[in-house]
Amino acid sequence: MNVIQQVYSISRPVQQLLRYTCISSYRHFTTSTTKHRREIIEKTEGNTTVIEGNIIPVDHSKLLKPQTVEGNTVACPLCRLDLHPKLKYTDVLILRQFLTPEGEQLPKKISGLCYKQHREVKNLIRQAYRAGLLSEYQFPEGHPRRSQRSTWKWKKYNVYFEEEDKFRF
Amino acid sequence: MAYNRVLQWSVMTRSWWLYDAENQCAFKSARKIVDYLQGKHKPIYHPLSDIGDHVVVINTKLVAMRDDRWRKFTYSHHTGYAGGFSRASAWRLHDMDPTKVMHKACYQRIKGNLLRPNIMRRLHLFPDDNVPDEIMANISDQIQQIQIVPKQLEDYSQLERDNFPQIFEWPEKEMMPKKKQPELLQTEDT
Repeated sequence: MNVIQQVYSISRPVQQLLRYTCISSYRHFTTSTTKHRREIIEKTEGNTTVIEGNIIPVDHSKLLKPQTVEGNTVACPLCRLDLHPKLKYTDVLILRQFLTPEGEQLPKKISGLCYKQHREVKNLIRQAYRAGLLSEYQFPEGHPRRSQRSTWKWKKYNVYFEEEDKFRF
Repeated sequence: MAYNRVLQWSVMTRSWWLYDAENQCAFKSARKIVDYLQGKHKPIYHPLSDIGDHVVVINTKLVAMRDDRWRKFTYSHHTGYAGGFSRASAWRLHDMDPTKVMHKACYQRIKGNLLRPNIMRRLHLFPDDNVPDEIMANISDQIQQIQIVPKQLEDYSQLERDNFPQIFEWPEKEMMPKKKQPELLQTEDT
């Protein structure tokens, strides 16, 4: 079996990948991924051959959000922070800043959040009320807002949330 | 040397453990408690060597469940006769007996054989903090809680709140929601 026959027996997409590796001959190891982050260069000087894998620089400037324009910040306050691990419902001191003194969420005009973060903070605030962490805020009548202290059926018992959970009830 | 000798004694004896179930998931904590009941935390574990420990669980009334499991999670039972099927949601079972959810979570976690009833006899459940002194005198150590108990906003002091960094600044012109404006105007006039 010749070398040529071996190459043709390989499936067609693999042949295409081999073409992009910039190596003339067929080799039995993978040299680069399909993303082509590295450019492979062969040099021959007499008996010695040198193979180099140089990194190709990529511009991500189009994907990035505009952080600052003329010194003024553009991204919303939570996108700017880029917290990891993510914001949780137990981080009460942060969620408190997005609330009015009566315990309602601030509008986007004041908080300056983008739509996506505004929706997530809304979810977290409702989870925190359900878990009874924000029972300090009260209705004008006097009883606390949507706390676990309500005696109605299952709402009187303790509850916790994970990252994937969304407030559906 | 003395420490190793005491470790060896504690392996052979039946020691007593305490577990606080306040704001802990019932199913996740059962997974941990059952290991202590069966003796799986000891290096000489074998299912036929009766080596398990006692566990005292307090505050089972304050046990937590994830999301809306209190409403959705159901316990079913069948008497064996026709029309003997019954089903109850978790919160309804917890209303009847506040130790029942914790008991069932541990019971289902253990393998179903003839050793199970004897293992379950070593589990002592209490809905509150009130434990008789006879049991409390035996306890030697504590099992660590699984989840962090979340802190309420009331628990933070005023100094802690003021020093916490602010994420954004309010605009110079105060813009409150429209709902509250008529109430504020009435108070100013009167």
